[in-house]
Amino acid sequence: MRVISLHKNYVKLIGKAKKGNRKAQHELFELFAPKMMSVCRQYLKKQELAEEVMLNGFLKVFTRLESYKGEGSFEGWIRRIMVNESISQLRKGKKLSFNDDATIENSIDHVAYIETELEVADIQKMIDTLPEGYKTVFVLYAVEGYKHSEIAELLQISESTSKTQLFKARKMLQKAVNKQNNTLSYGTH
Amino acid sequence: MAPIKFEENIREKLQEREIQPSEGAWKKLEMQLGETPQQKKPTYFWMAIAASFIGMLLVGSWFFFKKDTVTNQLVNEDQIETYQEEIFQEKPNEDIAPILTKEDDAISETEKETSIESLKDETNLVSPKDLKVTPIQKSKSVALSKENPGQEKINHEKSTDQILRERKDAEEAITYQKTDVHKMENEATIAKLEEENFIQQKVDEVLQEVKKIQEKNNTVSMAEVDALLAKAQRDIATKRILNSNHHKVNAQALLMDVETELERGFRDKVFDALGEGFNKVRTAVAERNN
Repeated sequence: MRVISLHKNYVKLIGKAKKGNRKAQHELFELFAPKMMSVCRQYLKKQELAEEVMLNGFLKVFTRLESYKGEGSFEGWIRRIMVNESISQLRKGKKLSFNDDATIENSIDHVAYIETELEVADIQKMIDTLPEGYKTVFVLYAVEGYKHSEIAELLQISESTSKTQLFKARKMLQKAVNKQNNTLSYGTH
Repeated sequence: MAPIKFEENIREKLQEREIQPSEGAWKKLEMQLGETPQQKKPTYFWMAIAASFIGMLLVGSWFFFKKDTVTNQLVNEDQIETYQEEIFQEKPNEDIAPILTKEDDAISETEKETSIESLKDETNLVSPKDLKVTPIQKSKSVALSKENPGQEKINHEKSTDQILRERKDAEEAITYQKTDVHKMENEATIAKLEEENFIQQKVDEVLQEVKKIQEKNNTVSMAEVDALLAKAQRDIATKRILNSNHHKVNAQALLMDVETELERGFRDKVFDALGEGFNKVRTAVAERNN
C-alpha cells in the first residue's frame, strides 16, 4: 500500500515538474538525489565531482522530463541518466581507457566468489582501487545489471572487451578481498 | 558459475546506498534551471477564473429573468385550456353570481349616472370628444372606479373651458349633443352589460373548476382556488384593456393594470378583479368544501 501511494505521489510530482513547477522539482530532487549521488559515486572517486555530475544529471532529468512517458520506473529512468552522465564525465577526463591486451585466461568458471559479507564503505573502497575501465564495466554489469551488449554500446567497445574488463575487475577484487580478510574462503565453481 | 554471491552482496548494498549531497546542491541546480516560464501561467489561470465567474453570472441572471416569463406563459396556457373546456359547460351557479352582478351593476350605475349627470349639470354643451372618455373609463377595472370621478371632473372642467369658447355654436351643438349623449349612454350600457356578463362567466368558470377539482380530489386547497381566481382576474383585465366594444386598447386602463401589478399584491389584484363579490364567492366555495 505504501509503495502504491508513493508511486501515486511520484506521478503527481512528475506531472507538476513537467509543467515547470519548481516546488515539485525540488521535492523530486530531495527524493532521489541521495541515491543518485551514490550511483555517480560508484564511477567517480571524488565526492565533489560525483555531486557535480549528479546535478548535471538532474538538470537533464528536469529538462527532458517530457520524454518520460511513465513506462518503467522513474527511478530507473533517472538512474540511467546518471550512469550516462558519469560515463561522459569519465570520458572528459580521458580516464576511461580499456586495455584489451589481457585475454581471458580461463572461462568464467574460474571466477571465485567471496562469501564474506562486506560493508558498503569497504566495497566502495575496493571498487575505487580498480582502474576506470575495469571499474566502469564491473559496476555496470554487477550493480546496474547491464548486459555485455549494452555495456559495449554504451562505452563504445566490443562485447569481448566488456567481458575481459569484467573478468579482470573480478580478479582484482578477489585479490583486494583476500588482502582484507586474512581468512579467505576461495573456491572455484 | 554466476551468480556470484560477492557481486550479489555488492549490488544489494550499493543499490540501497544513499549519499547526501551538499547543502547548496539544490540551489546550484535551481540556478542552472533558471527562471522557467512559470509566472505566465498563473495570470492565465486567474483570467480563466474571472472569465468563468462572469460567464456564470450572465447565465445565472438569464435564468433568473427567464423564470418569470416561463411562469407567465404557463398561466396563460392553463387559462386558454380551461376557457376552451368550459365554454359549453353547465349553467352558472345561481347563488353567488347574482350578488356579484348586482353589486357590479350598482357600481356601474352610479358611475354612469354621475358622469352623465355631471355632464348635463355643468353644461349641455359637451363636445363629443369629451364624452367619449366616459364609456372608456367605465370599462376600466372596478378598482379604478374610485379614481374615476376625480379624473372625470378634471376632464369636464377642461371641457367647460372649451365649451365657453364654443358657445356661439350653442344651439346646433345642443341638438347634436343630446343625440350623442343618448348614443353614448347606449354604448356605455352595452359595454357595461358585456363586461358584467364576462365577469359572471368568469365567476361561473371558477366555480365550475372548483366543482371539478372537488369531484376529483374531494378537497380543494386554497392555493387551487387562488390560482383559479387569478386566471379569472387575468381574463377580465385583458378584456377590459382590449375593450371589444370600441375596438381599441384603452391606454389608461393598460397603464393602471401595469401599476396595480407593480404596486399591489396578488391577492389585492384578485380582489380588484372580482370586486366586492370576491368574499362571497370565497365563502361559497368554502361552504361547498364542507
